[in-house]
This record gives sequence, C-alpha cells and structure tokens, in this order.
Amino acid sequence: MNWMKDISALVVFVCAFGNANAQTADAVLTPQEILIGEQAVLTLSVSYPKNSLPGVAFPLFGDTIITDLEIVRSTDIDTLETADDVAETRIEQKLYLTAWDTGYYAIPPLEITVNGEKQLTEAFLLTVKTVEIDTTGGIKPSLDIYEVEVGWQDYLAVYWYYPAGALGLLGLIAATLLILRARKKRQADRPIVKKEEPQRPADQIALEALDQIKMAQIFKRGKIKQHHTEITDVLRDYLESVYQIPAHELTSNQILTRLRYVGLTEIESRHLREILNRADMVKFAKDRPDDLENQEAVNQTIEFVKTTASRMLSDKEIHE
Amino acid sequence: MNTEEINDTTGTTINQSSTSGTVDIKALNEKIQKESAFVKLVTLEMEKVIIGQRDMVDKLLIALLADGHILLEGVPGLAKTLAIKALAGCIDVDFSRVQFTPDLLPADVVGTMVYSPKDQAFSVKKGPVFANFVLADEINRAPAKVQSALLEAMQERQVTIGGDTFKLPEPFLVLATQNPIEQEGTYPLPEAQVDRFMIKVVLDYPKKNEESLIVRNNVSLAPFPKTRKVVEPDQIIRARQIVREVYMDEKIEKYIVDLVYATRNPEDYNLKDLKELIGFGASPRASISMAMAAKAFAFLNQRGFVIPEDVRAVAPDVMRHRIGLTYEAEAENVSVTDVIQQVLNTVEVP
Repeated sequence: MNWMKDISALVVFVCAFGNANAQTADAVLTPQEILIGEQAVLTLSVSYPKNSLPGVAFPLFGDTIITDLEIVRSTDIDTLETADDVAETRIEQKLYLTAWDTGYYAIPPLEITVNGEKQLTEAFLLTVKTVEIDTTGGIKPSLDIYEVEVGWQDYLAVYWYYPAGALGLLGLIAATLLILRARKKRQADRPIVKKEEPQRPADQIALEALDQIKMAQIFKRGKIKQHHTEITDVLRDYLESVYQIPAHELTSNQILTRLRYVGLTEIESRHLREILNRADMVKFAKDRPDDLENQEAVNQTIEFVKTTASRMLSDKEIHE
Repeated sequence: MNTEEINDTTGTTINQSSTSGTVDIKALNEKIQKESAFVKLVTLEMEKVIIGQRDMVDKLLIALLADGHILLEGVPGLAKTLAIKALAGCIDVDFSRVQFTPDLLPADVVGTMVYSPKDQAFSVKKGPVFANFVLADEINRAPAKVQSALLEAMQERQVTIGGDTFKLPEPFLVLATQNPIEQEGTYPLPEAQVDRFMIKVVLDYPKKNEESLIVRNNVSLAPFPKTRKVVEPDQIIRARQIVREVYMDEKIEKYIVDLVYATRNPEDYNLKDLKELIGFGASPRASISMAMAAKAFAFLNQRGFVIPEDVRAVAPDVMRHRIGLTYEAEAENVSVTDVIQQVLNTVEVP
C-alpha cells in the first residue's frame, strides 16, 4: 500500500505546481507476443517539461489487469531525472504481465489523470502462444537418465551430519578417556594414607603362635625337628621385637650373650638357654626328646614369654 | 634327654660317610672325645712357644684335621714361621722349609733329575716338598712358576719328576706364609691358586701383655722353649677320618651354601649394598672347605655334630681369600672382612 501513498502525495504535489497543457501520458507493451508463462512489460509514463511538475494519477490495479492476464509484479512510480541539456522529465510505472493460457488478450486503454485531465493510453493485443511441437520428425525415444558426476563434496553437502556425528562421537570418547586418565593420575598421585592399625603386642602374637604349636602337637607325628624349629622361630621373633636384637641372624650362644644385660632373671636365662640348646640338639644333633620333653619345650617358651612380658609391662608402668 | 640311634623319620637326609645312613651321635661324641685328646697336648705344647695368637693355633689345627692347607698373612715378626715350626715339632713327622725368593726355581721345590757321572745315569733328587709338613715361607716372594709348582703338588698330592710320578707322604700339609701384598718385592698369588688354600688367617699384632711376655722369653738366660713330639702321624690320619664322620645336618649345609651364595648374589639376601662392592664371590671350593673346616672345629670342641657357631667361626678365614672386591670397595675403604661380617650378620641362622 506504500505505493498508493506515494501516488497520492505525487498527485497533490503535481496539482499545486503543474502546468497541464504540456503533459502527455503514454503506454508501451513489449513484447506483444509471448509464450505461456513468459512475461510482457507494460510501461505507463507521463512526460512533462522540466521544472513544471504536473499532478498525475496512474490507474490502480489488483492482481489482474484483465481477466486471466495477471500482474506478476509492478514497480513503484518513479521520476526519471534527465540531464541538464534535456528539456523533459518523465514519470513512469512498469507492470509485468503474464498469462497461463494461449489466446489473445486485449488490454483496453488505461486512464491516466494529469492535472485533473483524464488521458487515455493506446489499447494493446497481447498474443500468448504455446510451445510449438514438431510432429514431422516422428516419435523420438525417451532419453537416458542424465548422468551427473557426483563428488565427495556433493555427498558431504547432503550427508554432512554423518561425519559430523562420527567426529562428535570420537571427540566425546577422547574427552571421556582424557578425563578418566586425568582422574586416574590424580588418584595415583594422591598420597596413600593407610589407616595405621595399632601394633599388637609381641607377647600376644608369640603366645597365639605358641598355643597353636601346642595344640598341633606335630611331634607326635614324628616331626620333632619341625616342632622345635617352629618354637625357636616364634621365640626369635619375640626376642627381636622386645629386645631389638637380630635374633634370626644370631646363633643360640650369641643370643644368650646379647641378652646377658637386658635384665633377665636367672630362671628366665636358664629357661631360655634350655629351650635354645634343646632345639639345637634336635635340629643339629639328631636328638629325639620324648613327648614329655617336646611338650615341656612349648610350655617353657610360653612361660618365658609370659614372665618377661609381664615384667616389662610393670617396668614400663613404673617408669611412666 | 636321650640321644639314640634313629631312623630318619624326621625327613632329615643324612649325607654322611657311614654306609648305614644313620648316625649315632652319642657314640660319635665318645669316639671324638677319645680321639681328640691329643689336641689338648698339641695346644699346650704350642703355647709353650707361641705367646697369644690362640686363634692362629686353632686354625692351624683345623687345617691339619680337615686335610687342607693354610695360608698365613701378616707383617714380618708375628711368629708365623715359628708357629708352623712349633706345630711340626709337636707331631712326629717330616718337616721341611722352603724360603721363597725371587730367584727360586720349580726344581728347587719339587726336585729334579741329577746326572751321576759315576753311574752314568740320571737319578731323582726329590725336593723339599716331599715332607709331611712343608713350610712355604714368604710364598709371594717367588715368581709365579714356582708358586704354581707348589700349588700343583698341593692339589694333586703327587709330583712328576722326569716322567716318574711320586706320591707325597701322608699326612701332607702345606703351611704358607706371605707378607701383605702391598709390600715391595712381592708376587701376589693369582685367585685360582690362592683358592687351593683351605683357610687364610690374617694375623694381627699381639696384645701389650702378650708382647711383654714375648720380650721376657726372648731375652732371658733360659734357652728358648721348644715343642716336643706328642702326636704320631697315624693319630692325625685317624683324626682326619673321624672329622669326616662328624654329623652335619642339612640345615647347616643350607646355611653354608647360603653364606657362600650371599657373596655371589648379595641382592638375593637383602644385601643390595654389597652388589657394587663384590667383584666375584666365593667358589664352590669355599663351600666344601667351609663344611670341612666347620667339622674340624666341632671336632676340636669335642662335638660329634656341627652347629651354626662352628660355621661362623671358620667362615671368615675360609672366604677371605676367595672374594674379590671392586674398585668401588677400595675407594670406599671396605675390606673383605667387612663384607664377610655383613654377610654373616644378614644371612639367617638355622
């Protein structure tokens, strides 16, 4: 509807300042013969002397100019400026016409009002033809399907979402792996804080092991050497823990010498010597103590552990 | 506690010379107490002449009883030669002494063929090696070919002169002395030859009170004491046989092997620090010598079985000359004795 406003404004302007005598309205149709669907241009114009702007009103149109002759589009009413040495100025509008059926379309004279005076344009006959078919050459066979070279770019243009999806998936997997790796590294770098369990007393460990040896009574199955080896192993562990001596790397005599000044009572020293010497005799001299002596070896060791442990505990309490 | 003859139900394998496969420890103890009585007499005789150096005397007896040879190392004046002469003096055997010098020839040791113009024939002249006790004094002052001639006789117990082979007398014992190799004019014994010695004893200076006594004995008007013969050679040969009968449990055998292996693969025995310090470890001959020496030590203590103390007592002298140290050890001033001590302190005792 803007073009209508523009026309109204132009009419007012032309009426105020124009001179009607020197103005001529005109219309031109090119071409006058078209094929179905082609477009013909109807140009409406008003020419007037320079510097004498007339009051002009072009006709108003809907979708058609006549029945079945469609106005495809129309331009705005435009003023065509001319050079300084040219005496006229022109106002024009172009209408693009087409028809969808063959025939002859008569365009009646159009009425253009210039400075209140109605001027009629020339009438036109627009011929609309169809495409001519050459039937003289006979029926031609149908053509093969036209082969078009299709490159990867064409596929990519159509199916771009497949590679994009694959790349996205790979990226996701890579990102997941990187995150997992970083997480693992962080966990590995993290200092392992072990919950320290309170160390069990050496005497408790030794007594448990000795009780098991006592219960097992393997000497009754002929394993006397193993019986005494197990006893001295437990005893050596206990001595290492309590008296801080490398008992497993010392001989029996060396152990007795090292423990000479750790405060063992005479009875404890004697028991320890008996236990170790008896074990040495079994282990190295093929001695075969009877069942009573084998049992006594465990009992004596239990007694030694108990007495030394309780004395050490009481010494510690006194010290504290 | 009864010690009785047993069948081996404990799973212990007895690797004894006895054919029955069983050992009567009690009977063996009694036998050893009877047969080792001469040891005390020898010790007493030796103590008349040698002041201090009790360890050296024990080691001489160990080598004698274990049928090995002994190498004594120490600076001059530590009674090395005197000790060996004194030991020879206690036993009624042939004794010869060879003073090794740079110009000594192998024939001077083993003997040679001598041409007799009168008989117009060659005859064998046996060298000083044909004696029960041979003192090779300052063995590292002679060149390698002479050392080699003696060491071959030590190993083979026989000498070949001019195509004839002569067995050396029994008991045969070589007691060699040497000065520390750092001294001038010495030819160090190669590792292969030093390995032939069962034990090597390194002597240290006597203690103050012992040295005072040495001075007093040497400057007094009374003649220098001499040992008298208290043992017959047959007793030594018999004792050597009994030493072989001394019972050694498989736990002790394993302990010996562990000690020797620890010098070869210290990292397996929690001794990683020694890996860089040891060039080569002790040979299998070290294991054999340690076992024999431990048995002899048990015999000296009148025991019919070996205990870990016996092994530890002889281990340093058996392994000392069989371990090669690296330059790193020398740079760090680590001695073989330090290495052995570390091994003994780390390998678990059975």
